Amino acid sequence: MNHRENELIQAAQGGDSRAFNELVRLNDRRILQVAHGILGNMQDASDAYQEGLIRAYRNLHTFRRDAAFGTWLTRIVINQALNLKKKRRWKQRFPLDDTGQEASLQVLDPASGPEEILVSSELSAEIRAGLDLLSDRERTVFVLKHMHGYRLREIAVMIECAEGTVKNYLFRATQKLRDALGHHASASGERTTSSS
Amino acid sequence: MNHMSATCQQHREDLVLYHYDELGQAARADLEAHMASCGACRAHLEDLRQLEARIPRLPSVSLDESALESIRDAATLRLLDEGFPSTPARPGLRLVRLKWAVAACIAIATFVAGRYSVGDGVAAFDSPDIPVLGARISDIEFDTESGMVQISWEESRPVTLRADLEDARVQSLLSQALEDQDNPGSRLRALRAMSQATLPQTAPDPVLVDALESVLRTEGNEGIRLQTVKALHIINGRAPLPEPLKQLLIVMLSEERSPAIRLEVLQLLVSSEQASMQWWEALQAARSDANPLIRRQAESALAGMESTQPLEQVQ
Ligand SMILES: [Zn+2]
Repeated sequence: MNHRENELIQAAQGGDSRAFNELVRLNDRRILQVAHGILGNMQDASDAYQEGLIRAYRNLHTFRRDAAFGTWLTRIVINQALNLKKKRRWKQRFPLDDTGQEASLQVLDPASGPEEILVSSELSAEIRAGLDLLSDRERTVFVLKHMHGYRLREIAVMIECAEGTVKNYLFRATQKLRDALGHHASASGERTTSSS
Repeated sequence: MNHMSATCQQHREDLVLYHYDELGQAARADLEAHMASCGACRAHLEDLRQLEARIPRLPSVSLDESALESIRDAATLRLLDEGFPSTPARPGLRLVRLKWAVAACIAIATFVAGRYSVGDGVAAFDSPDIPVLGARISDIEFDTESGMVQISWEESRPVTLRADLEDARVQSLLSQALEDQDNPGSRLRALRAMSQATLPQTAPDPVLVDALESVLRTEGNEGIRLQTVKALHIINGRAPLPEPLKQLLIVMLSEERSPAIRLEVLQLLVSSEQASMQWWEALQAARSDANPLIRRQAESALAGMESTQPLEQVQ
């Protein structure tokens, strides 16, 4: 953990809300993207993020600096995202909508503002369907490892389990995705020769 | 894959770790030695690399600055509701510091008895024209049906006041709520009540306008700043803005980080502004704002200016 972060944490724990804001701003984009990876849409990701932020703020005194602040905050938001995912489970029983498009999202100020922001997923419908085959934790580990490049030991902290368990989730996630998406590639003969 | 040996089975999990560069030195050497003589495991690794080509190693969504800011604003409002303390304004916006004491003095000086109705089950005022400076405000709501603001606070006992926005005591209490930097929750509730109110028919109350201006000069929290500009729009209506406030808003039009705030500022200035060279320049600058909505509105305000009066006059 760097010196600056240490200072900010100390200030935030002492009640300096500006320091807390700064800590959050250093991490929020990536955390929102992780939540989006887990939940599949920005509205839910934003909800999980906000819930997580409130929890982090309330529990700031319990943060013990044995991990980076970003890791700690990510863990809290992931927890919220997984809870929200459980609540949304019934929706997932239904496949993707006809167009396979993630609806573009309007993030609106609750007190009504004319601002309109469009956010759309970078993933194709096929890949999102593949990700939907994974369990919540498999998907979370895959998002953290594959899309965000976290180390397994960081992921273990973020999802609160042993590193061996993370390996297992990652293994199962890749096997499922390979089965779901791999056939198409093999059948169309798109195999690339391995180099690197 | 059909005739997978026990050794291969053991190596499958390692292959995934190998692929993600998470395998220790010894296990790595071991696996490489095995793969040198095992086509099935090499093919399996190839499958993983194929997956890589299909699912890019990138976040599932890109978030541009304005999307991020909008989510930050929403998060800020949630935190404020949780009692999160507000942040002081960025130094760049402290052009002219208006000391709250000044506004408070004006509040006392301009105090007049208003029209009141007192909420059910709460103590009525014995004397409705006693100013209530220093009250601990616990709740502020706007009732859209009756058009009344309801404010609760503690004096020696809990008191609730219901009156309209033109009521001097309501204005005094709202100013106090805005002033209370230790209590951003009540600041925010005051702003929300004002933003929901309908446009007052009378001239804008200078005390409230001053109090709102002082919030803009001292408050760093973007959620609150946004609400403040909205409340100003309601309170000020289409009246000309006091010069120092206008100057501040013109700075905010280019300096505010949040596009939602810049847009709100632009709209407030458009509805209150008389043509001036400075305003024309500010609009010219807003034409190259990062946010397309702001650019569009600046364009149309400029078009409006140029159609109503010749440019020489503006200059
Ligand atoms: Zn093998």
